[in-house]
Amino acid sequence: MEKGEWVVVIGGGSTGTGIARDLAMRGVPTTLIEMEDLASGTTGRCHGLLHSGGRYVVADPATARECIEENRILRRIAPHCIEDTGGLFVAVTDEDLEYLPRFLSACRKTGLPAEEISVREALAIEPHLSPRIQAAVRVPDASVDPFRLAVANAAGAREYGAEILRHTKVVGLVKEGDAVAGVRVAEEGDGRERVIRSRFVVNAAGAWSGKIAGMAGISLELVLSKGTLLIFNHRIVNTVINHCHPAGDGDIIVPAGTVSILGTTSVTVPEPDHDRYGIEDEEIPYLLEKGSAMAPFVRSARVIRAFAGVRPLFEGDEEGQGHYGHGEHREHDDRAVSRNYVIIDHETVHGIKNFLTVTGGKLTTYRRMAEAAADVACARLGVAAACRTAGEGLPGVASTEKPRNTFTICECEFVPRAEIQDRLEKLNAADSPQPPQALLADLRRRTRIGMGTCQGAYCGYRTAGVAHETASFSAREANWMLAKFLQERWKGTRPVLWGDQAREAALVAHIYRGIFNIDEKVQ
Amino acid sequence: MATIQDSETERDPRLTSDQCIKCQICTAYCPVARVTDRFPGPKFAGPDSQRLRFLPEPVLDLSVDFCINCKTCNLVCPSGVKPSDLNTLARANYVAARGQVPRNWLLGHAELLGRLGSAAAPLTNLVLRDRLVKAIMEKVMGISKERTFPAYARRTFARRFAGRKRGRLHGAGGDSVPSRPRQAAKARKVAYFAGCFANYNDLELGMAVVEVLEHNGCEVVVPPQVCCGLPLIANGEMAAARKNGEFNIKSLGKFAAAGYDIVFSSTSCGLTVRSDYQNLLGLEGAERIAARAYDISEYLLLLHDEGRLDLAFEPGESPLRLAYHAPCHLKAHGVGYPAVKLLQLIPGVEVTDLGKICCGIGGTYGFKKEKYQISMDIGQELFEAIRNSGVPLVASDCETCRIQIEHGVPEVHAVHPAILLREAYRRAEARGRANGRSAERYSQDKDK
Repeated sequence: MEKGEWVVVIGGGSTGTGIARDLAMRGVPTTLIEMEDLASGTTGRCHGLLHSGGRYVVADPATARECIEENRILRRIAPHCIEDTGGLFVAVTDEDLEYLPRFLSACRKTGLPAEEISVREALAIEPHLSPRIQAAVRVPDASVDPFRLAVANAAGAREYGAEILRHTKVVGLVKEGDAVAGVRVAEEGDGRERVIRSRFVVNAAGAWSGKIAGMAGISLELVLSKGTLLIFNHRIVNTVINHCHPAGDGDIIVPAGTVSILGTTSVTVPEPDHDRYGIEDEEIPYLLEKGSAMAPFVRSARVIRAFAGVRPLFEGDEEGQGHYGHGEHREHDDRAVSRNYVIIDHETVHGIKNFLTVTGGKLTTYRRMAEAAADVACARLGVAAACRTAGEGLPGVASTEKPRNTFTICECEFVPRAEIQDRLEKLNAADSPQPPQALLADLRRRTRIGMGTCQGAYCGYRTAGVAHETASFSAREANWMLAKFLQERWKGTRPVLWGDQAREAALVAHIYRGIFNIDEKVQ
Repeated sequence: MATIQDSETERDPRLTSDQCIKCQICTAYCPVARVTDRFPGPKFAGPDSQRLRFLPEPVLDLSVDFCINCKTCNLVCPSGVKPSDLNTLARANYVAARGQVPRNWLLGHAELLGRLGSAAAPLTNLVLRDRLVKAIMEKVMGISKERTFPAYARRTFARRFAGRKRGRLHGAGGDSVPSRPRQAAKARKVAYFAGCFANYNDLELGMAVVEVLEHNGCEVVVPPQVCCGLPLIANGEMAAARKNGEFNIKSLGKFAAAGYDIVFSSTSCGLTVRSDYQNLLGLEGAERIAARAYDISEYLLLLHDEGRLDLAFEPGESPLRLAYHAPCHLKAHGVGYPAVKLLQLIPGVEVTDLGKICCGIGGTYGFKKEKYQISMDIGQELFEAIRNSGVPLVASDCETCRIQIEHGVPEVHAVHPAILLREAYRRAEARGRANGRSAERYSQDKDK
């Protein structure tokens, strides 16, 4: 049995890291436990869209209101994670035109700044938009880097004394009578189990929260909805493009750093683990067809990768199971059918003490979810301190100096060796040991290595070499991390193997199999 | 080829960056990347960086300024990417965003230099050769003091050609389309684009081209023309280049429409008109000129293929061993090495292709102070090959290649192949006249 903390937070996505920071800022000693890496689950598998709320404004004005409020707060506290791209809602068909007045009036009622601009102006801003669009509305959407956001929240939590354990999996809950008294965890490397006792456990495991709740014998009614997205090789748009119609598939294109992301689909899956579900062949042309209604260029632009994430949608019986968000009416009286987040105080609902689940929700509202969850936990712990996350900026993440003469490891994403080494040192110095096989993927989330056109063809072996040369990783471990990394990159390339990306994949295969003799047998 | 070539990529050369599979072949062939770290190579500066240039506030990286514009990367890319074009466009954007430096403005306006230089010749040449002037130019302008500008002639080629033809000056503007062909109907009609170098510096080259063409029954005119625009393009002055391009397209277009072939003695001028007008500048009507444009050696070889080239070359007194250097821009024409085949037609001439990548001059590139050493380092391989071959004479189609060769290996002469062809024809004529004067030496011609 190890040191007793007040709160254990399970899940290192945007919500979990947000809760850990919120609690730590209120002076609550907190340990965050993540089975893989920060933002390796649903957080890192989304559009990276900072919603203005426009997407929900007609069907779910309360959620839309939350989005615009949080949108404003995040621009203030996390400017280094956000690119102010602005957003456009474009009407293409006659049906879209019929939807438009409802959309505009809902925006007005919700207080969402929406400005209709001329089609000509829209085409001047985004030349790849379909010349057939009939109307365009400008909204304050933005692009947010989910990896950077989660890492910044974790760093902020750590600044206030929280402990962040990555690659540590919760395998059971410690129960004392009708109360949860901690968690049993296993480290990813050797699987060694240990117990972390705590006065309160927050389940922020997102798509995995049903599994965690199950460890306390609680059955959560979660629907796991897989969304598939496509990454284009370059910025085919510089503004977030939304199809102006009731939310549907493949109707958002988000510019993100060097690339653009089109999504998404919505398919119910039985399992949240991303190595358990696949991307179906038919999803790809389906997305391209949907996207081409807004921007026909998506059909000929190069797609470098497909990826999918699983949204945890809570469809439980609202009366019995918990309470939804939406600020002021956070009690049981909100009966609206909503895709908003839900906070379940298991003492109230299931009679299990010191245990709370927060699930549902979206990246844009992560801070508010964290605040609501921390409020409940603090009330149970008798902590009076109020939330301060809306006022205090997140710590900067891009502190690495980029000296000009340092060797460029990743040429697609311009990652210099100095940045890799800096990140490598930080990962090695973290609270939990860095499993070698996950090193390249963890560096990828922090530096963008392997996320560009060639999907790791050159930066893969170069980074493995740096890890071997400057850190304590053996040659065998370097090979291992390389093979794991390539396998994971390949997973996302395989669904989009046509044209230039097929040629690219052939080259990568020749480099690694032909020159380095690495294939799936390496482990 | 599995690359996606749709109308969008054809319209916007920047979109070819999507076709890059990062094979690094261009970097392996890049003459600059192999001698300096200041240029990260065509892949990195081109398609890789292009992804950042699609951002609304594009990243402006001056490293593209170290691209020598040899276009080797365009040529070797197996995926249809044009890294050189991407670099050129990026450099132009850089200049547009950050402003032009006076040195690059001046070098870009090489034609202005030519006009002023020949107006004040031979004083210009004395001044430009003065060590003190050179030192000041390096200090103030950033033009390398190691370089000497080519000597400017007092009369331009255009005036000399007009004067020779009609015994009077025929406007500075050049010929107009003749209402009636002066030669037999089947004769080929050539509109000769001399380019700034032949016009202001090497008049003998211009005259040699005309003489060789006329010797082979071509009717030659010199249309009104301005600088092709290459130095402007290379120095980021796209608007000025476009203006020049429009002038030339209009002028040459009239001749093309009247059935004239457009012939260039400068490989780089030819390449600019033939390819950059269309691909880089997107000028209207460029394709009509391109369809009738030829490098002089390519054109003469075409005549030979048609059996219309006079093969009565008279060899010199002793066998002539010479080396040939293929300019990068000639390679970019994609026409092989026609000059080698032509020179081999002269009895007693033995041609060795030096087979080196790049001489390192890159037009105005090698004249820039910060690039002089890079330029010489690139040329080193070629210089050594020339020295090792032991020849006194190097033929090369490009004027700045010849400048670089004579600069790097002062003991050899570098000539345009047309000069050698004219010599061989002149010797034949002289022998025909029996009492003719002995053949002039190319070097004397050249120095006139």
